[in-house]
Amino acid sequence: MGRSTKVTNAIRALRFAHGEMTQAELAERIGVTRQTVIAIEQGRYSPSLEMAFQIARALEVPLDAVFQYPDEAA
Amino acid sequence: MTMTERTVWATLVVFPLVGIVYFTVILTQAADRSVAEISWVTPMLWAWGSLIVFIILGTIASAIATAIQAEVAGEKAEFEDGDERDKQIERLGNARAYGMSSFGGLVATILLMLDVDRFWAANTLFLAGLIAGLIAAGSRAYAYRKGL
Repeated sequence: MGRSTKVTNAIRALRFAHGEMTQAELAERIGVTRQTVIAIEQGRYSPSLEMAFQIARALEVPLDAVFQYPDEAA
Repeated sequence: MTMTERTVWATLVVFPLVGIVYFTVILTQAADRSVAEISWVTPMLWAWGSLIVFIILGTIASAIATAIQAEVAGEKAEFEDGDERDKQIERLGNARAYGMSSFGGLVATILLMLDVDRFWAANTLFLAGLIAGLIAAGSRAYAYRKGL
């Protein structure tokens, strides 16, 4: 267990850019608990593809603006 | 901390406590009599009953704590069964506990095949159940804190 994902995200920055949306508001929009949003933001949880799309839609940005996967060569 | 996570922590407290009390009662009897003479059925029934009652009380206390925390923070309390992450964490805990449950069942079966006193089979199952519960709750608590 522990943090095994290489996926990073810009949810926190995008929330602030999107009218300072709170974690609770984002959680309510995508139908999860605030703790789950916190875990995703901190990289402790990789959401499902469906939830990832929901997050991107809630923040009104493309999916790859929210989640990034580092290049293997980098 | 969500209500689901609080319930996991309640399990982590209740299971060892009940286990310690039960095995203290049993081992105290074992000190001065043979295994066949140990009265274990009633203590085990009490132990199972206590587990159920304490988990229910822990869940109620979790709900109250969740409501108070939400009230203090000015947020809406989250009492749902849990979201996608909670379900994944629950499945992880159950998967890790499954091995222990299976092992306990196998050992108990072998003990019965060997025709040893049923005390050993029953208590092997009880101990395996407690350990499996602890493995499940421990895995879940770790996943909540450190991530899946």
